Amino acid sequence: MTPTEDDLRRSLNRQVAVPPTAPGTQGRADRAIGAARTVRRRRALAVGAAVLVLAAGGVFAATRAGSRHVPLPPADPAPTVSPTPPSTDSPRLDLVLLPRGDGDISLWSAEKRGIVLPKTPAHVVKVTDGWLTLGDYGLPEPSFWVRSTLERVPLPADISYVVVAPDGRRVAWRAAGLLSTGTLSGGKLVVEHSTPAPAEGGPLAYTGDAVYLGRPNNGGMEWHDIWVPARGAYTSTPGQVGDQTTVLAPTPDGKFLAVRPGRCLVLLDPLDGLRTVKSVCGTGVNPVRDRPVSPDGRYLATEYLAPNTAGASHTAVFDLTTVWDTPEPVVVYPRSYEVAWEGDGTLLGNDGTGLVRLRLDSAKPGVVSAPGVDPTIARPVRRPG
Amino acid sequence: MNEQDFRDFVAARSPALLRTAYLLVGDWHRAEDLLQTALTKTYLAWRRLGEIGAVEAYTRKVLVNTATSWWRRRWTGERPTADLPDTPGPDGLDALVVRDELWQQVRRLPARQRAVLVLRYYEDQSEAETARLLGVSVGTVKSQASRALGTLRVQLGTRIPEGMDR
Repeated sequence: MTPTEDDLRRSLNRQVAVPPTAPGTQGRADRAIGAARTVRRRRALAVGAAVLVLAAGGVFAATRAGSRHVPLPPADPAPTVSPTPPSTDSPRLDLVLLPRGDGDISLWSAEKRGIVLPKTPAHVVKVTDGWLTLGDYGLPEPSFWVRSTLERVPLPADISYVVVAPDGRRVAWRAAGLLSTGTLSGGKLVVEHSTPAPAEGGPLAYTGDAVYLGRPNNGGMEWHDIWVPARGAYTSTPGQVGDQTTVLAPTPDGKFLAVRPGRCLVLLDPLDGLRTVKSVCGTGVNPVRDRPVSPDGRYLATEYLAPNTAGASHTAVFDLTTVWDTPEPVVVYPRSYEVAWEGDGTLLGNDGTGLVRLRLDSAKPGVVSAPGVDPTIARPVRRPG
Repeated sequence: MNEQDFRDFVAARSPALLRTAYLLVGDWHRAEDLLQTALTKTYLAWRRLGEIGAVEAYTRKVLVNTATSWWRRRWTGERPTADLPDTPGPDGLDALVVRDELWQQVRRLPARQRAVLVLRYYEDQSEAETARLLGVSVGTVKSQASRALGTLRVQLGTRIPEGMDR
């Protein structure tokens, strides 16, 4: 045992030497049993829906051994490419289907194609022409562009920190000691700008014109900075170390939404030295990256903790046209969900027990089912941005 | 095994599982959330798991895999938690642990590397058992542990403040 290993063992034990004031174990058992029963009901509904689809359209799901593309074709030799009209509670987003055991991750799309994704991606992002399947954030892991034609385009071997602009075409990344921006076009990732990368970190958000750079950690950002490729090479801006800004998302009009201590929501202009354009504090917004802005740029869906309260966080939606004057969410949902915008007015989410649709005019989630899909393993694919 | 057996299992083992969950995610609230998810999945599989030893192994595997999986990434070290003071820690414990530089460096590791360290050096699992729990090869466990320890050595070599109690 080396000194580091010895220290590590002691440190880990020290962190948990004083247990927290835990909720009763009886409560844990009750909640687990209740949630499990909900899951069983939803699975039963999904199976029922699958049976209906089989009966109505002769659609089947097949997994060909050795095939990386798994079509979910109509069995009829003269297919009517509209297998099943989506019902009102069907998801209107692609879904990532998580693996059972050591299986593959696959994709369920509205076009009724099941696609086994290459490797086991850490993220899947929808782009204009297909999907990016990316490695663990900030780590150089195998990443691919799976085009709409299902062609797989490998991305550079050591690519990391890949972020997509809201237009779904422009991409920024780190690879081979360079920061680069480019475009997904014609089956190629076309490099448009490159500059030497800093020692650590990389792109965290991209408006299409400006790249927000940084290296996150548990205490905020070790550093953050901005690179505007059209203005030339990246040069480090002094005084950006130890910043507590967490960028949530780019906005369609080229700004960055961010959170600062005090749960202050801020709008930053990357073309003006990250100048604060707007700011409001006490919003209850949690500093979690990758919170999505609606396609029209009006709403922010975010993790939310009501001010002056302790306890569980929730998913909430803020109206970005009014929040700067009235820092109140438009709606707060009962739990915290992994969410993606289906359209401008609805979100699709999953809290680990099933898919739900979240509407702006109701705090009550609606159950969503996709034919033949176990909702407990389905996660909405994020739109870019 | 029936529902009461499950309740007994939760009563007996959830405190220990919660501690492991905390080391995996670095935050008591999220640890509780993670444990709750693992217990739900355990109850779903309850009838086919058989004897209690298999149950605990299953729960631990779910715990680790959920913590290290991308779809629960928001529980992992990649999550900036700039102003956690709004979420009070239990009994002032967070104020104590914040002084532990080694632990701060462990929290910065990628989720899978951190999980390997927690399983190997907190739970005292063998390399083979760690590999089984994470669903990876023994070679991957070795390389992840080596990389993580190397990172810690480098970081601690340059960042340990004077007088730090390690």
